[in-house]
Amino acid sequence: MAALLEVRGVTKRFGGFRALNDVSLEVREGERFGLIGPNGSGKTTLINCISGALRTDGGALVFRGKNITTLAAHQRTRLGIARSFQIPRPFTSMTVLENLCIPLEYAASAQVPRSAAASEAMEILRVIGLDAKAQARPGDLTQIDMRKLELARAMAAKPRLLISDEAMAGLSSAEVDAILPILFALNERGITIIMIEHIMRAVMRFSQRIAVLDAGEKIAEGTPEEVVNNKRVEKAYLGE
Amino acid sequence: MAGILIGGFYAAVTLGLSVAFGLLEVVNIAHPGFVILGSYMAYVMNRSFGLDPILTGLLFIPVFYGLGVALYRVYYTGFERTGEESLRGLVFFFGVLFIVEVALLLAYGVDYRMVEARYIGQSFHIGMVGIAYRLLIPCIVGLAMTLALHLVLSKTFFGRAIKAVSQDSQALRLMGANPVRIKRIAFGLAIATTSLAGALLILIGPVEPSIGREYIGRVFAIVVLGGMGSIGGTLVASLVLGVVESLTATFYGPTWSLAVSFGILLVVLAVRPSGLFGR
Amino acid sequence: MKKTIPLWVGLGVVLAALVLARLVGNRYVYFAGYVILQYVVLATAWNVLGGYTGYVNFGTAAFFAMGVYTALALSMAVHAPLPLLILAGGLSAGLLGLGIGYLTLRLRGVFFSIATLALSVVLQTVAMNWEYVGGAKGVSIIRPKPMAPFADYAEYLFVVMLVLAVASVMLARWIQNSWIGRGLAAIRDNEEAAECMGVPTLRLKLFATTASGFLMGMSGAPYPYYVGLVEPVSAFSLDYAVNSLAMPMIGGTTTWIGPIVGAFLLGSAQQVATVTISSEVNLLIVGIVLVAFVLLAPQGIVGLVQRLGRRRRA
Repeated sequence: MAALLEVRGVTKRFGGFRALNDVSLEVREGERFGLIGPNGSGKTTLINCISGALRTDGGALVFRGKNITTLAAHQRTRLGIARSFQIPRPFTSMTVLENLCIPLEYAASAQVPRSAAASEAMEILRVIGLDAKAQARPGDLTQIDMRKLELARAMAAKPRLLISDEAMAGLSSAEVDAILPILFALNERGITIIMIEHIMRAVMRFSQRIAVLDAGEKIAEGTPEEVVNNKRVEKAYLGE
Repeated sequence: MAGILIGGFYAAVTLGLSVAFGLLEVVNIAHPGFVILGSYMAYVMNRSFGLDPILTGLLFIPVFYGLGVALYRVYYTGFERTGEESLRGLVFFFGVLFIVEVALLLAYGVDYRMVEARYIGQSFHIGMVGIAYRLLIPCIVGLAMTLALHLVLSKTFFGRAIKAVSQDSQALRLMGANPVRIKRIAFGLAIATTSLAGALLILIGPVEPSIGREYIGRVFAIVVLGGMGSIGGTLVASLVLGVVESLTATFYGPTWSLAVSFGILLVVLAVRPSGLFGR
Repeated sequence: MKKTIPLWVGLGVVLAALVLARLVGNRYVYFAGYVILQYVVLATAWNVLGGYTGYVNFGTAAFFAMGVYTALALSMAVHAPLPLLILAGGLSAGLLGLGIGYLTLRLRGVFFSIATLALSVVLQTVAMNWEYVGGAKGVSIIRPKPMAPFADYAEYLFVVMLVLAVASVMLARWIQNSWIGRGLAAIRDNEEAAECMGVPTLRLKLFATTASGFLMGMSGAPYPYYVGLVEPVSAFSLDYAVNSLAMPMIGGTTTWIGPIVGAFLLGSAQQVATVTISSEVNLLIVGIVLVAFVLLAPQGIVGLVQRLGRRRRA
């Protein structure tokens, strides 16, 4: 399998603090990739660097063979990288449907003609189970519906790579079981997925390969079984 | 030379905004309006009771503090609590600035107002060089205010709480302090400084209501140049601005000195938005 | 809803207003009407950047005066006809918008707003030092003869401003309902999320700033002929900044209707107030009403109406 995304020696500093230190990893086309690590290990920072919300201070990012290190975030989205936010950030003045029209009309405009945006948005809402709430405002949605909306928006960008940033944080077991199949289904359709989660059973079930970050460095990478048995990983999570 | 003295005065004017905008992230565009208000208070007290403006400035500090606290309460309940975009907060303060300016216009008209004090016409002499008191005293007071604020922020629990509140209000809550209350007090302090700053302003020269607008560019240029949240940076930036303006006025004429602050603001924003000493 | 108001509707409005004005017969209608329509353009222009995109422009006067002085200089140099002056005024103010946007829009919206405020002050200084247009004293300009079918020049100016007002509203409505408008709304709601959803935020913001400046500049171009004497203090008056901001805030910022409502309400009220009370008290009232609306009715009058409608339906 070819590498869809290559992270080569990425470093990110905030003032004197090194959030990411020479992190390298590879995500293959069509893969289900997990990214885990204790709080503050740099997972979200890495995602921000990949999606373009942050500029790197060193290293390179290559997506589909193209160097995207200096591209603006919206350009990366158009190339096929989409992300959902940890704390949902819907467009509050628009309806749920309109929220999906934005990525469809902007990120996916090459694949979906503007006139078809609304119907395509409805289709995505149907797949994710929010079609009944198409005309609702984000302010009226429940927690889990907001998470679904976040995922739906990322889907509406018609990505090749979808980064799900703690989409299931704080959800009940049943709610997690409602979201997981959606991610599996997306992967079936050929979308590469990077999942960041603290809910171990979700990550273990979902991922084909996992990378572990701790204090801005990658300390392990491999299959779920390999990572779970890795002593360094155990130490990072449980301390000495 | 005059530039440095004016710079010291600019520090006095900007300190409050450094706290409000730099530390609390409240975009108080109305700040210069309060300075002018302070000037007029000094004028009224001077005309009615012959009070020295600096004395008025000091006397009115509690009044302005109360104003600041009240203003913050309104701002907080209206905007920050609901997490609205800063658009409305910005407009709110602009409205306040406008109201203050027009109210002063209604009350006192467009004429320039000035104060009288014994030392205004006189100068302090070092050898052959004479430094006008009306420039020297505001500068000294400005420096004193800067020092005082710096000490409060770094030495007192309260001061450190203010610095912390902008970065981590969660930690503050765990320590038993109420972040909102701290912000409110800090903002009150910020407005309180305008009382004294206004008194200094009218010492330097006559004022009329629309002068506030000239200072908006200056104070924000200083806050940005000095770095958000840095009191020392505010002082340095004030001095820089004072000197550059003075030089510009000498070589290009006084009307261009206003353009200086704008120019500095644009350059800093384009080149190094975190300022000289910014976080 | 159809995306564009058909041209004939726009022309119909113009004709109707013209007929009405002639029926009233009092010349004062043309003057008052000119001012209100000018504010319709300014408020609508402000709203494209402020209400749709969420970036507050405090320096309306700078863009307005850019149009004024461009038209003035051009008229003094080559005696160009009014339509050309309007176009030139719009272009120069649009470029000003593009320039200031390019310099400041990559940073937080706050700095853009502060820059616009400082911009007004600086441009006013430039105008005061520019001897060609009379410096601080200003310069007088003579109105050309009115062309048929207009009986007098005031009527002609009124119609010109009317056409500009209708055109700006049509533009604003088109923007609002188009994909550009949705992108602007996304920027207003959550700029970071918009960027991640593929919205080219910088490009759209520059578009909004340029379009807004363009409209404001156009509304300033006829000003020299309207007042006769152009001098910096009134051309750069703070009134423009406050009104072009207060009118959409009071009328409603999310639609093209809000600025019109605000302009008519506030504009007429001010015309009345300036004559009956003093003009300063009038300004004070504007300021207080603005603050009140920002605090209590942020969606403006249009928003209140919408909420009432929703409540009755529920």
